[in-house]
This record gives sequence, C-alpha cells and structure tokens, in this order.
Amino acid sequence: MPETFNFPGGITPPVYNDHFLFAEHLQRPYECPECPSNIGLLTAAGGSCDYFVNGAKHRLDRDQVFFISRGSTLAVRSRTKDVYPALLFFHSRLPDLVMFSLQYGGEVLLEKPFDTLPYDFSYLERPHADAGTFTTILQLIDLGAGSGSFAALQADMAIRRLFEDLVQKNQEAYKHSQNIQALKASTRLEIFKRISTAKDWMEAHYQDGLTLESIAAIASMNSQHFLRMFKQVYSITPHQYLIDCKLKKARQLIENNDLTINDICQAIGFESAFSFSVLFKKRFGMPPSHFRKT
Amino acid sequence: MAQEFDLAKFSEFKLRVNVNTSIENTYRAWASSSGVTSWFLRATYKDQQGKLRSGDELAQEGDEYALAFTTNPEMIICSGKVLKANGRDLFSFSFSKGCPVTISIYQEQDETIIQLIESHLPTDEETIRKHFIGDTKGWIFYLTNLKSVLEGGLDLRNKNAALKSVITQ
Repeated sequence: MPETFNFPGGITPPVYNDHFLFAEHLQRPYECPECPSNIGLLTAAGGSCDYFVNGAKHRLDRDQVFFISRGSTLAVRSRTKDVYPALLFFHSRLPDLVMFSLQYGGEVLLEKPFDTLPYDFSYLERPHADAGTFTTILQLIDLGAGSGSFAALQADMAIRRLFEDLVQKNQEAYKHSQNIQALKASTRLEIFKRISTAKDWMEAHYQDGLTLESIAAIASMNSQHFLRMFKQVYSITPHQYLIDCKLKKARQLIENNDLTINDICQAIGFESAFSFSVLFKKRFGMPPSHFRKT
Repeated sequence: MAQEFDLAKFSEFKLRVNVNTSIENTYRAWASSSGVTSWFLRATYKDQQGKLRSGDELAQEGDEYALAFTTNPEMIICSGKVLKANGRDLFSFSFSKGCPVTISIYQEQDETIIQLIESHLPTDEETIRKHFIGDTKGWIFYLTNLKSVLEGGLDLRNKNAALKSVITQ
C-alpha cells in the first residue's frame, strides 16, 4: 500500500486472495453487522437492498451500483423477503497488478496516476445508475453458478474490465474534483460527491421538467451555491449540461430507430423543433435530418 | 501410508484427440481467424504493426489475438500473444494467466493427432481450481468440437444467446 494512504481509525480491510462474489436470494429479513470492506461493487440483483457505508444508508434498486472504497465500513440490512443482495469484492492484489502493468506493461490506463490510485475510490463512493455494470454482475452470478466452458476465464476477464473501467472513472472524478476551490480535501470530496450525484440524476431525468431548484435539492444545496459549484466542477452550467444530455439522447434515437425528427424532438423534451435543430447542428456539425441520412 | 500431494503435477495438463483430416487442415484450424472461429470462439489476429490479418491468413509468432463469443462479439473473453508458429505443425499462444498453450500436430497409427499442452500454471489452490480443472473441462469440449467440425462439419456449439450455463458455450 502507498505510505500516504492511511486508514482512519486504524481500520484494516479484509484480504481477498481471489475475486469474491457474494449473492443470495434472501427469503427472510437479514442483517450483517458493520465490518471493514475492501474495494468492491454493491448492488441488488432483485428487490431493494439497504447498504450502510461508513454509517450512511444507501438503498439500491435494479440498475444501481455502489462503488465502495478500501477501508470503508459496510453493513447490510434487509427487512423484507425476496431481496437479492450481490457484493463483488476484487482480489486484494488487483490494484497492485494494475499499477504494475501501468508502469511496466506499456498499457496506458491512466494519464497521470496520483499516488493512491487505484486504491482509493472515495470519489466514486456513492450510488450510480449504471445498467452496464449491473448487467455484468448478473452475468458473473450466472457464470459462477453455471457449467459453461472456460467460465473462470470469462469471469476473470469481465472483472478485470470492470476494475479498469472503475479506475478510469475514478481518475475522471478526481480530475473534476480538483476544480473545486476548497481548502480541505474532505470538503472538496463531499462537494464533488453531491454535485456528481445531482449530475447523474439530471441524466436519468432529463425528460422531466427539471428546475435548478429541484436539481439543487438532490445535491442538498441552495440553488445559487449549486450553480456555482457545478460550474466549477464541470466548467459548464447545469442548463448547458442538460441540453447536452438531451442532444446526445436525440443522436442515439436518430441512429437507432425510425422515429420522425419531430417525434424525437418531443420525446427528449424540446418544445421547439427549430431550436432543437439549431442546437443539434451546433453540437454535431449538421442538422438532425442530414445526420440521419449519413 | 498417505502419499504426499504433488502440486507440481497441477502445473500442466495434456490432452490429445485424433482427427480424420490432414495436418495442414488442422494447423489452419488453429492459425487462421476463420479456422478458429469455425470451432472455437470468434477470433481475430493482428500482426505486430497492429494490422488485422484476413480470415485465411496464417498468424505468425508475435501476433496478438482476441477471442469473443459469436453471440456477443463485443465482449472479448480472452486475448494474448502467439508465442510460436512454424507454419506446419506447431502453434503456441498465451492463454489463462498468460500461460502457454502449445498445439502439436503429428501422425500416429495413420491418424492425425492434435496434442494440446497447457503449461506453467501456478499451483496455488485458486489456479488449480479455476484453471487446471476449469480449462481442462473447456478444452475437452472444444477439442471434441474441433474434431466434429474438421471431420463432419457439425458444429456442436450453442447458438442460442438466451441459453446460459451450458458446456457447449
């Protein structure tokens, strides 16, 4: 472990000699007391599961994943039946292996790793709406229970890809967080988590009539403070980000189905087809009708 | 008297299968992407400059390969390097944990034999469980399928993407 990475309160995380996937369909209420955790992913393969990370409760539903960092504490609680918690913990040496390959194997995974990457995932430690990662965990559950050929090889590859994806997301999160003008690292971390949570929420609800106040409420900030912080972190305003979300979604719809441009415009929440077309052309270099033809 | 458990025996395994076809056809089934795709997984070979080799082009030593399911070509299951390729009867590539798999093709009792050796496997419990045992099971099915494809054209692999956890995948 890097010398600079110290665990608060002297917590010693468990050591995993292999990747571990715990997944069980609970038929009755269940409680696992708080214990130290290693780097991992938490989700609910069925039902809703309550995870308590460093004492804070997070309820996860389908398609949501929580990235937990090494040294955090974790408790699991389920008060109902038919809950299916799934917890994936990475081989304890995987961060070392990734760092080794970065230095000696010629892979370019990170631009400039700071000394605690890829051990510290604090910047990602919150719920994420991540259908891709969720699906991979379901596939790993199937692989673990199944009899497919080379199942272990497939699982190792899928887990390695998950971890590399996590490392890149962590680096992006770290880069954005450094834009926050706060003196203390802990303040920067807390602000970044709130802003990024609100950003994810905007992406999931872009079609609804979002207001600055409703988005700021997700970040537990007043609207002016939220506006200032969002712009510091991402260098664009929340409104600009929302427009970008809508335009990217429109592009996907144009590429993947036969809806008319007017229908797409309405589907993504633009009131004016003209302003949609102008913004689309500014963003992607051509109007939506031409984009479809290419 | 209890015998000592010799872990060294788990560092490699050998499988052999006889096929009713020429050594040349058999070599091509391993060393070309169209060959591998016909019985194993969707394969691509790239030369050392990163250029994709065409379907029938034979891979050379130093090439990189990637394998994916035919039902999900975006998902790479395994990738590695071609370690040896003599163009006739010897082909070797890195596989599980970067360990070599060596294919030797020769005549025995008037039949063509494909010999597969997966070697240099670490002998910790995790590797024995996942790779020595797991890879043996996988190669047994795929070598059987290779024989079937080379001899009769019948591809035994599962084609139903919705069906999971079968040995034919």
